[in-house]
Amino acid sequence: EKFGTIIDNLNGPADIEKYESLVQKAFLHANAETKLESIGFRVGRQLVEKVSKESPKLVTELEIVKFICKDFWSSVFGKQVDNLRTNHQGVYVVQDGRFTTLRSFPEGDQYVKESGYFLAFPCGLLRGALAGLNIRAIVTPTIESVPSVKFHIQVQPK
Amino acid sequence: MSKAIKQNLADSKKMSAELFCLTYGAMVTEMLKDYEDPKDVTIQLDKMGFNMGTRLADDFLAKNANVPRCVDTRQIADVLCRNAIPCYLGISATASSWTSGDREFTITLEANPLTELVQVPAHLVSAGLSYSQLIAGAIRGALEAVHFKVYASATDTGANTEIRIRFDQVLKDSLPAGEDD
Repeated sequence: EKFGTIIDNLNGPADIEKYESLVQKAFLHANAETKLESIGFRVGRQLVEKVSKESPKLVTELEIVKFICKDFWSSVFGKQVDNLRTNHQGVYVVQDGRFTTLRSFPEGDQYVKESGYFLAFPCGLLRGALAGLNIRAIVTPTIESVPSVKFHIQVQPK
Repeated sequence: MSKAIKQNLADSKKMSAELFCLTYGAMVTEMLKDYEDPKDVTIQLDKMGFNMGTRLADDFLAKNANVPRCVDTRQIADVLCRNAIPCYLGISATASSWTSGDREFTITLEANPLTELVQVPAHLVSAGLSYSQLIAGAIRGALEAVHFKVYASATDTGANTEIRIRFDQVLKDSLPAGEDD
Protein backbone atom coordinates (compact mmCIF):
# COMPACT_ATOMS: atom_id res chain seq x y z
CA GLU A 1 0.00 0.00 0.00
CA LYS A 2 2.83 2.26 0.90
CA PHE A 3 4.33 1.84 -2.54
CA GLY A 4 1.24 3.39 -4.14
CA THR A 5 1.70 6.65 -2.25
CA ILE A 6 5.42 6.65 -2.92
CA ILE A 7 4.86 6.23 -6.66
CA ASP A 8 2.29 9.03 -6.65
CA ASN A 9 4.76 11.38 -5.00
CA LEU A 10 7.56 10.57 -7.40
CA ASN A 11 8.65 13.37 -9.64
CA GLY A 12 11.88 12.84 -11.43
CA PRO A 13 14.76 10.38 -11.28
CA ALA A 14 16.27 11.99 -8.20
CA ASP A 15 13.37 10.73 -6.14
CA ILE A 16 13.69 7.22 -7.52
CA GLU A 17 17.22 7.09 -6.26
CA LYS A 18 16.01 8.07 -2.85
CA TYR A 19 13.85 4.97 -2.63
CA GLU A 20 16.26 2.66 -4.38
CA SER A 21 17.15 0.71 -1.26
CA LEU A 22 13.47 0.29 -0.55
CA VAL A 23 12.82 -1.05 -4.05
CA GLN A 24 15.70 -3.47 -3.73
CA LYS A 25 14.37 -4.64 -0.44
CA ALA A 26 10.93 -5.16 -1.91
CA PHE A 27 12.35 -7.40 -4.61
CA LEU A 28 14.46 -9.32 -2.16
CA HIS A 29 11.54 -9.94 0.11
CA ALA A 30 9.19 -10.74 -2.71
CA ASN A 31 10.16 -14.34 -3.12
CA ALA A 32 11.02 -16.85 -0.44
CA GLU A 33 12.41 -19.21 -3.05
CA THR A 34 14.89 -16.62 -4.28
CA LYS A 35 15.98 -16.11 -0.75
CA LEU A 36 16.41 -19.79 -0.01
CA GLU A 37 18.34 -20.10 -3.22
CA SER A 38 20.72 -17.35 -2.19
CA ILE A 39 21.21 -18.94 1.23
CA GLY A 40 21.98 -22.20 -0.54
CA PHE A 41 24.43 -20.46 -2.81
CA ARG A 42 26.34 -19.09 0.14
CA VAL A 43 26.45 -22.45 1.86
CA GLY A 44 27.42 -24.29 -1.31
CA ARG A 45 30.32 -22.01 -2.05
CA GLN A 46 31.77 -22.50 1.42
CA LEU A 47 31.05 -26.19 1.58
CA VAL A 48 32.71 -26.98 -1.73
CA GLU A 49 35.95 -25.55 -0.45
CA LYS A 50 35.92 -27.90 2.48
CA VAL A 51 35.05 -30.90 0.33
CA SER A 52 37.52 -30.17 -2.47
CA LYS A 53 40.40 -29.38 -0.14
CA GLU A 54 42.22 -32.65 -0.73
CA SER A 55 41.03 -33.54 -4.18
CA PRO A 56 43.36 -33.46 -7.19
CA LYS A 57 43.23 -30.43 -9.42
CA LEU A 58 40.05 -30.23 -11.42
CA VAL A 59 40.73 -28.94 -14.90
CA THR A 60 37.88 -29.48 -17.29
CA GLU A 61 34.26 -28.59 -16.86
CA LEU A 62 33.29 -32.26 -17.02
CA GLU A 63 35.75 -33.11 -14.28
CA ILE A 64 34.25 -30.46 -12.06
CA VAL A 65 30.70 -31.63 -12.66
CA LYS A 66 31.76 -35.21 -12.01
CA PHE A 67 33.40 -34.11 -8.78
CA ILE A 68 30.16 -32.40 -7.74
CA CYS A 69 28.17 -35.53 -8.53
CA LYS A 70 30.47 -37.91 -6.69
CA ASP A 71 32.44 -36.36 -3.85
CA PHE A 72 30.39 -33.28 -3.13
CA TRP A 73 27.09 -35.11 -3.41
CA SER A 74 28.12 -37.96 -1.16
CA SER A 75 29.53 -35.72 1.54
CA VAL A 76 26.54 -33.38 1.51
CA PHE A 77 23.59 -35.58 0.61
CA GLY A 78 25.02 -38.89 1.80
CA LYS A 79 24.97 -40.69 -1.53
CA GLN A 80 26.19 -40.32 -5.08
CA VAL A 81 23.94 -39.32 -7.94
CA ASP A 82 22.27 -42.09 -9.87
CA ASN A 83 22.72 -40.73 -13.34
CA LEU A 84 24.63 -37.95 -15.07
CA ARG A 85 24.05 -37.05 -18.68
CA THR A 86 25.47 -34.27 -20.81
CA ASN A 87 25.24 -33.00 -24.33
CA HIS A 88 28.88 -31.83 -24.14
CA GLN A 89 27.74 -28.30 -24.82
CA GLY A 90 27.30 -27.06 -21.33
CA VAL A 91 24.08 -28.81 -20.37
CA TYR A 92 24.15 -31.50 -17.69
CA VAL A 93 21.28 -33.48 -16.33
CA VAL A 94 21.86 -34.97 -12.90
CA GLN A 95 19.42 -37.51 -11.64
CA ASP A 96 19.03 -38.59 -8.04
CA GLY A 97 16.43 -41.27 -7.49
CA ARG A 98 16.26 -40.82 -3.73
CA PHE A 99 17.07 -37.21 -3.04
CA THR A 100 17.92 -36.52 0.60
CA THR A 101 15.66 -33.50 1.06
CA LEU A 102 12.62 -35.34 -0.23
CA ARG A 103 13.33 -38.73 1.26
CA SER A 104 11.03 -38.31 4.22
CA PHE A 105 8.16 -37.06 2.08
CA PRO A 106 5.33 -39.32 0.99
CA GLU A 107 6.26 -41.00 -2.27
CA GLY A 108 4.31 -40.63 -5.47
CA ASP A 109 3.23 -37.70 -7.57
CA GLN A 110 0.70 -36.18 -5.20
CA TYR A 111 2.96 -33.56 -3.64
CA VAL A 112 5.23 -32.78 -6.59
CA LYS A 113 4.31 -29.11 -6.61
CA GLU A 114 4.83 -28.57 -2.88
CA SER A 115 8.15 -30.41 -2.98
CA GLY A 116 9.39 -27.86 -5.48
CA TYR A 117 9.77 -25.25 -2.75
CA PHE A 118 12.08 -27.53 -0.83
CA LEU A 119 14.42 -27.78 -3.78
CA ALA A 120 15.21 -24.06 -3.96
CA PHE A 121 17.85 -24.50 -1.29
CA PRO A 122 19.61 -27.54 -2.83
CA CYS A 123 19.58 -25.78 -6.21
CA GLY A 124 21.35 -22.81 -4.68
CA LEU A 125 23.71 -25.23 -2.99
CA LEU A 126 24.68 -26.75 -6.33
CA ARG A 127 24.98 -23.38 -8.00
CA GLY A 128 27.19 -22.18 -5.14
CA ALA A 129 29.36 -25.30 -5.32
CA LEU A 130 29.82 -24.84 -9.05
CA ALA A 131 30.58 -21.16 -8.54
CA GLY A 132 33.20 -22.12 -5.98
CA LEU A 133 34.88 -24.22 -8.66
CA ASN A 134 34.69 -21.41 -11.16
CA ILE A 135 31.68 -22.46 -13.20
CA ARG A 136 28.80 -20.08 -13.61
CA ALA A 137 25.64 -22.02 -14.13
CA ILE A 138 21.89 -22.03 -13.87
CA VAL A 139 20.44 -24.92 -11.92
CA THR A 140 16.79 -25.89 -12.18
CA PRO A 141 15.05 -28.90 -10.69
CA THR A 142 12.40 -31.17 -12.14
CA ILE A 143 10.43 -33.65 -10.10
CA GLU A 144 8.35 -36.26 -11.79
CA SER A 145 7.66 -38.34 -8.75
CA VAL A 146 8.84 -37.79 -5.17
CA PRO A 147 11.65 -38.50 -4.12
CA SER A 148 13.28 -38.65 -7.56
CA VAL A 149 14.73 -35.36 -8.78
CA LYS A 150 16.45 -34.24 -11.95
CA PHE A 151 18.69 -31.19 -11.79
CA HIS A 152 19.39 -29.37 -15.02
CA ILE A 153 22.70 -27.59 -14.95
CA GLN A 154 23.16 -25.08 -17.70
CA VAL A 155 26.66 -23.69 -17.78
CA GLN A 156 26.91 -20.03 -18.66
CA PRO A 157 29.66 -18.94 -21.05
CA LYS A 158 32.47 -17.18 -19.22
CA MET B 1 26.97 -35.98 13.88
CA SER B 2 30.61 -36.91 13.67
CA LYS B 3 32.91 -38.24 10.99
CA ALA B 4 31.92 -41.83 11.56
CA ILE B 5 28.43 -41.07 10.36
CA LYS B 6 29.55 -40.16 6.88
CA GLN B 7 29.40 -43.69 5.52
CA ASN B 8 25.88 -44.43 6.58
CA LEU B 9 24.43 -40.99 5.93
CA ALA B 10 22.34 -42.40 3.12
CA ASP B 11 20.45 -45.00 5.07
CA SER B 12 20.13 -43.19 8.37
CA LYS B 13 18.15 -40.04 8.99
CA LYS B 14 21.23 -38.09 9.97
CA MET B 15 22.68 -35.24 8.00
CA SER B 16 26.13 -33.89 7.32
CA ALA B 17 27.27 -31.77 10.28
CA GLU B 18 29.07 -29.33 8.02
CA LEU B 19 26.01 -28.80 5.85
CA PHE B 20 23.88 -28.32 8.94
CA CYS B 21 26.31 -25.88 10.52
CA LEU B 22 26.80 -23.76 7.42
CA THR B 23 23.10 -23.73 6.65
CA TYR B 24 22.29 -22.55 10.14
CA GLY B 25 24.94 -19.86 9.84
CA ALA B 26 23.60 -18.67 6.52
CA MET B 27 20.10 -18.63 7.94
CA VAL B 28 21.11 -16.52 10.93
CA THR B 29 22.98 -14.15 8.62
CA GLU B 30 19.90 -13.79 6.49
CA MET B 31 17.77 -13.15 9.58
CA LEU B 32 20.18 -10.47 10.75
CA LYS B 33 19.61 -8.70 7.43
CA ASP B 34 15.87 -9.06 7.81
CA TYR B 35 15.37 -7.94 11.37
CA GLU B 36 18.06 -5.30 11.75
CA ASP B 37 18.01 -5.63 15.53
CA PRO B 38 20.02 -8.68 16.67
CA LYS B 39 17.72 -8.96 19.71
CA ASP B 40 14.81 -9.72 17.39
CA VAL B 41 16.86 -12.45 15.74
CA THR B 42 17.43 -14.03 19.14
CA ILE B 43 13.70 -13.93 19.80
CA GLN B 44 12.96 -15.54 16.45
CA LEU B 45 15.58 -18.23 16.97
CA ASP B 46 14.02 -18.95 20.34
CA LYS B 47 10.58 -19.27 18.75
CA MET B 48 11.88 -21.58 16.04
CA GLY B 49 13.60 -23.69 18.64
CA PHE B 50 10.43 -23.78 20.71
CA ASN B 51 8.43 -25.11 17.79
CA MET B 52 11.08 -27.72 17.09
CA GLY B 53 11.20 -28.68 20.76
CA THR B 54 7.48 -29.31 21.13
CA ARG B 55 7.70 -31.80 18.27
CA LEU B 56 11.00 -33.28 19.35
CA ALA B 57 9.56 -34.15 22.75
CA ASP B 58 7.22 -36.68 21.16
CA ASP B 59 9.97 -38.09 19.02
CA PHE B 60 12.28 -38.32 21.99
CA LEU B 61 9.78 -40.21 24.13
CA ALA B 62 9.07 -42.57 21.25
CA LYS B 63 12.76 -43.36 20.85
CA ASN B 64 13.63 -43.58 24.54
CA ALA B 65 11.00 -45.73 26.17
CA ASN B 66 12.91 -46.18 29.42
CA VAL B 67 13.20 -42.54 30.41
CA PRO B 68 11.78 -42.19 33.92
CA ARG B 69 9.12 -39.72 34.95
CA CYS B 70 10.95 -36.65 36.22
CA VAL B 71 10.02 -35.44 39.67
CA ASP B 72 12.61 -32.73 40.25
CA THR B 73 14.87 -30.41 38.28
CA ARG B 74 17.93 -32.56 38.95
CA GLN B 75 16.23 -35.38 37.11
CA ILE B 76 15.21 -33.09 34.27
CA ALA B 77 18.80 -31.95 33.91
CA ASP B 78 19.97 -35.54 34.04
CA VAL B 79 17.67 -36.66 31.22
CA LEU B 80 18.56 -33.60 29.15
CA CYS B 81 22.29 -34.14 29.52
CA ARG B 82 22.40 -37.91 29.32
CA ASN B 83 19.67 -38.69 26.80
CA ALA B 84 18.18 -35.77 24.92
CA ILE B 85 21.19 -33.68 23.98
CA PRO B 86 23.45 -36.60 22.92
CA CYS B 87 20.53 -38.02 20.96
CA TYR B 88 19.88 -34.90 18.87
CA LEU B 89 23.18 -33.06 18.83
CA GLY B 90 25.60 -35.97 19.12
CA ILE B 91 27.61 -34.28 21.86
CA SER B 92 27.91 -34.60 25.60
CA ALA B 93 26.60 -32.06 28.06
CA THR B 94 27.00 -31.42 31.77
CA ALA B 95 24.75 -29.67 34.24
CA SER B 96 26.27 -27.40 36.87
CA SER B 97 25.91 -24.13 38.82
CA TRP B 98 22.78 -25.00 40.70
CA THR B 99 21.25 -21.94 42.34
CA SER B 100 18.07 -20.69 43.98
CA GLY B 101 17.17 -24.02 45.55
CA ASP B 102 17.81 -26.19 42.50
CA ARG B 103 15.54 -24.04 40.39
CA GLU B 104 18.26 -22.74 38.14
CA PHE B 105 21.06 -24.59 36.47
CA THR B 106 23.48 -24.32 33.59
CA ILE B 107 23.96 -26.92 30.90
CA THR B 108 27.36 -26.75 29.27
CA LEU B 109 27.65 -28.08 25.74
CA GLU B 110 31.14 -29.07 24.73
CA ALA B 111 31.82 -28.65 21.01
CA ASN B 112 28.45 -27.25 20.05
CA PRO B 113 27.92 -28.36 16.43
CA LEU B 114 26.17 -25.08 15.59
CA THR B 115 29.26 -23.01 16.31
CA GLU B 116 31.82 -25.42 14.88
CA LEU B 117 32.68 -23.41 11.78
CA VAL B 118 31.38 -20.10 13.03
CA GLN B 119 32.76 -16.97 14.54
CA VAL B 120 30.11 -14.64 15.83
CA PRO B 121 31.26 -11.00 15.64
CA ALA B 122 31.63 -9.44 19.09
CA HIS B 123 29.52 -6.39 18.25
CA LEU B 124 26.56 -8.63 17.42
CA VAL B 125 26.92 -10.50 20.68
CA SER B 126 26.95 -7.25 22.62
CA ALA B 127 23.94 -6.08 20.62
CA GLY B 128 21.97 -9.01 21.96
CA LEU B 129 22.44 -11.82 19.46
CA SER B 130 22.51 -15.22 21.08
CA TYR B 131 23.66 -17.48 18.28
CA SER B 132 22.73 -20.80 19.85
CA GLN B 133 19.38 -19.64 21.19
CA LEU B 134 17.78 -22.21 18.90
CA ILE B 135 18.97 -24.98 21.22
CA ALA B 136 17.75 -23.14 24.30
CA GLY B 137 14.40 -22.62 22.59
CA ALA B 138 14.20 -26.29 21.71
CA ILE B 139 14.80 -27.26 25.34
CA ARG B 140 12.14 -24.81 26.46
CA GLY B 141 9.72 -26.22 23.87
CA ALA B 142 10.45 -29.82 24.69
CA LEU B 143 9.97 -29.27 28.42
CA GLU B 144 6.79 -27.33 27.83
CA ALA B 145 5.47 -30.30 25.86
CA VAL B 146 5.90 -32.39 29.00
CA HIS B 147 4.36 -29.64 31.15
CA PHE B 148 7.41 -28.05 32.67
CA LYS B 149 7.60 -24.32 32.20
CA VAL B 150 11.18 -23.13 32.07
CA TYR B 151 13.12 -20.13 30.84
CA ALA B 152 16.22 -20.87 28.84
CA SER B 153 18.89 -18.66 27.36
CA ALA B 154 22.11 -19.55 25.61
CA THR B 155 25.52 -17.89 25.77
CA ASP B 156 28.52 -18.87 23.70
CA THR B 157 31.74 -18.79 25.67
CA GLY B 158 34.58 -19.63 23.36
CA ALA B 159 34.48 -23.33 22.58
CA ASN B 160 31.57 -24.11 24.88
CA THR B 161 27.97 -23.08 24.87
CA GLU B 162 26.21 -22.50 28.14
CA ILE B 163 22.48 -22.78 28.45
CA ARG B 164 21.01 -21.28 31.57
CA ILE B 165 17.74 -22.86 32.51
CA ARG B 166 15.37 -21.50 35.11
CA PHE B 167 12.52 -23.69 36.21
CA ASP B 168 9.28 -21.79 36.60
CA GLN B 169 6.38 -24.11 37.32
CA VAL B 170 4.67 -27.34 36.44
CA LEU B 171 1.88 -26.67 33.97
CA LYS B 172 -1.29 -28.32 35.21
CA ASP B 173 -4.04 -26.51 33.40
CA SER B 174 -2.90 -27.31 29.91
CA LEU B 175 -3.41 -31.04 30.32
CA PRO B 176 -5.79 -32.30 27.65
CA ALA B 177 -9.16 -33.37 29.01
CA GLY B 178 -9.19 -36.88 30.39
CA GLU B 179 -5.46 -37.09 30.83
CA ASP B 180 -5.24 -35.96 34.42
CA ASP B 181 -2.80 -37.76 36.59
